[in-house]
Amino acid sequence: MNQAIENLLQRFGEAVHEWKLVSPNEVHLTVSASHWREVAQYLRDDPLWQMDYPADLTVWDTGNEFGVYLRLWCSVYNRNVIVLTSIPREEPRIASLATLYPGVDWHEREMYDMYGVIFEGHPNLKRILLPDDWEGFPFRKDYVAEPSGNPLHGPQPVN
Amino acid sequence: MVINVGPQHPSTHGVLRLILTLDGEQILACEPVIGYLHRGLEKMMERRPYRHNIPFTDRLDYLAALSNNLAICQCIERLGGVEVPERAQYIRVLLMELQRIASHLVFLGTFGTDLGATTMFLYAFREREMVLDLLEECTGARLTYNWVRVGGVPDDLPEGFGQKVLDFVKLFRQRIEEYDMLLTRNRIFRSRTQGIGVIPKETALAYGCSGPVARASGIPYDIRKVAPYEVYNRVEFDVPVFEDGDVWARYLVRMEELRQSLRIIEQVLRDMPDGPVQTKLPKIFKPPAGIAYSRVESPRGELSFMMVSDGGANPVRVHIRAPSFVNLSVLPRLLEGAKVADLVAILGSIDVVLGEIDR
Amino acid sequence: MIEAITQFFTQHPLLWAFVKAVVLASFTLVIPLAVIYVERKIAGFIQSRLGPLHVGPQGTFQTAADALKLLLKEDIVPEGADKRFFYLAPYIAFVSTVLCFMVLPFAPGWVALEMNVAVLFIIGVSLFNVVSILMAGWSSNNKYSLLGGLRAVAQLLSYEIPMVLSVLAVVFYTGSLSLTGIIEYQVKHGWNIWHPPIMIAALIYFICALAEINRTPFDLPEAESELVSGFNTEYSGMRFAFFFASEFANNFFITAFAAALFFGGWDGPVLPPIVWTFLKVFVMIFVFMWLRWTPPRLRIDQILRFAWQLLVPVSLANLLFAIALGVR
Repeated sequence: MNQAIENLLQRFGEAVHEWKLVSPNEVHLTVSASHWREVAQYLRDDPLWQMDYPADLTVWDTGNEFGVYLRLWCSVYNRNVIVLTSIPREEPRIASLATLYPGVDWHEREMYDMYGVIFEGHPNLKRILLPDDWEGFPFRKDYVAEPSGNPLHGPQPVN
Repeated sequence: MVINVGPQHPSTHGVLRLILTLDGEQILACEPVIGYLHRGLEKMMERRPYRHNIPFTDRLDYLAALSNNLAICQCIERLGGVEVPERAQYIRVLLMELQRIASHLVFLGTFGTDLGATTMFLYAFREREMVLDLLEECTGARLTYNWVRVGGVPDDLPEGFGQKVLDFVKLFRQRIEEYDMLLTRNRIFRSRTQGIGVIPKETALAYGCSGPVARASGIPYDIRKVAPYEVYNRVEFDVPVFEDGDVWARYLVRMEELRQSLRIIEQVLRDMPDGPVQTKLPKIFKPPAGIAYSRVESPRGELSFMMVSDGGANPVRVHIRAPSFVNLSVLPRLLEGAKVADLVAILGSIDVVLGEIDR
Repeated sequence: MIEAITQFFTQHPLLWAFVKAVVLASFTLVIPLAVIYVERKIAGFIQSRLGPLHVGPQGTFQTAADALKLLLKEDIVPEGADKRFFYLAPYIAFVSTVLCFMVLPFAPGWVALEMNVAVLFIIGVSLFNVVSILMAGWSSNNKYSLLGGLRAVAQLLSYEIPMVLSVLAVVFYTGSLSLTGIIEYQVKHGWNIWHPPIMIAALIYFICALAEINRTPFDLPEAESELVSGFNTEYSGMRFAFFFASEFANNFFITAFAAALFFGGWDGPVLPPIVWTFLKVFVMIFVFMWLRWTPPRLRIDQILRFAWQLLVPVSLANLLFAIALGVR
């Protein structure tokens, strides 16, 4: 584990702002948003890491910025890695991991749905839980839940 | 031909809608449409004190409400560094396993009905009724229990509860044999499930499948073993793992889990110590700022809560990693090239609950 | 008195035919009530529950109450349906069943129309059922119905062939195309079922009969969990009741036909012949229901493969066997 972390720090240098070994098989990393995809790819492909299981991905709104949280698991060494980053609220853009981990596809769509975070490079970034014509992003702290903004209507027929 | 399966359809198990493109009986493409049950629970939780959120979780996976209760309580406990008394941990494990049996019985029953074996439904629900009676005696509710609390459980087990559970365990062992006779050894059932809806190991990993779906694909991913919580590291049980990854394997995993749950229940009842069941907590509970997550092996897979705290009385963010949500995202891949009749078998074997998909 | 009536009807054969038709049609409507009640009770027994209890003694009138309810229900025709065929389909299904009953002897002399090619007639008329299902499926303008209709046609046509071949084995063996003739042969020579080639024919007939009346494991055309209700999804009220009734009447008929072909029809000791017919029919119906509530349903490709790769060759070989052994 220590060797793996050392390699990671060497490879990314300043991009890894912070790291913390929470338990022998769990590490928390805070990285810069610009290296989001590179770090994830490194964690997946490096033989010392092999984080092959995308467990969770989510976003939260602190009021000043969006935090992004990615949890990975390694089926070989039984390790957990949590990768954190933050992106500005004004321009919430971050690289998509959906092509690396198909499992985060729907998570990213949900976060786009709720927070309006644009995951660049996502193959099918559209609303998933809310109707396609929903106005606004309801999980943002400044969202005004006004029924008149999104009047109710039934599902639209296909073909 | 484009055909709409759901949101009202007998075998989508809730308000799931699948837009299928068909060529006769062959499925060419499938696009799941979800969100009909979306209530914005995660946002609602941000506006309430931590402990007021527990009842909401009953409405996630309504077939295994206790697992959800446990997941959110564990998350808050980790955030606030709360210790749980030993007896409470045993009670939690006991209730979780009873809940797992109840949930898997719903799977068995509905899966049988999906394939046309209607009788299985009534057999499975007959036994589920017994489990619900037990849980009702303990918690006072049959579906939305709201029974786990931060720092323990609200009350001790009722008088004579252990003996009733043991009676049930004894009876249920025989009943599993009956299920085997009705379904497992039925040739038609096998021919309908074997080799259908195969999820290869790599796909299951890459998609983040968990629970019986992952274990049927050869991934020994069971949170109870991988990251033991409560007293799961003190009880002995096996994690059934099959390599085939088809509907049949997923069915077998769940059947075997029923037996393992019985084993766990017996050990827990044997080893349960006396003592308090609840830790004293302040009236206004303010955990320190930080991020915490919890992982629970719910009957459907890895159920994880992630909470962000800023030191205030309400959480900043609650995120629910619902196992059904992730497992369902594999469905479009599985259905390509399958038959319409396989659709119900495959969907049934993934065992989704729309309450936790839509949240 | 009786002589007067007999004489009256002999003088007016048309009127006599009309009376017989009315009796048969009502019989076809009433028999499903009994069969459905029995089915519900048996299903209840198998699934460890009670079944209907409250309407009438032991719930005997439950089915009648259901029929009444269906009568009073609104008759909904979906927009965009092909109205003519949509209206016609349930009646064709019903009429084809009534026509089958027409040539079926219940006891010596108890047959509406003594026909020397009764077996051929039944085979021909029962195919109308397929037509009605296809009509219903196509005209509903519903994709589920269409899928159900297509499945039904594929399945019924494939199973019709081994069924006809196994019936032909009986015909060649006994040397008669008349049902009365076949039964009388059995009264003389013992039941057909005890003769080796017919034993196989009976088995094939039994499997095909399950498929013909859409019973589990062959209930694909109306697979509830897949196609909602298959070809009759869009039907409501009385039109649905006609489909339902004809399905259960068909169930009765196909077992009565089997009783005539393989189990000596009315033949049996002590009890009157009519009782023997009904006894044999209900034993077979019980077996059908037992099967219905036990195994799951097969898939369409498995069903077709089974019919074409196993049943057709076996029944063909069996037919040759029967011809070789049968009377000249």
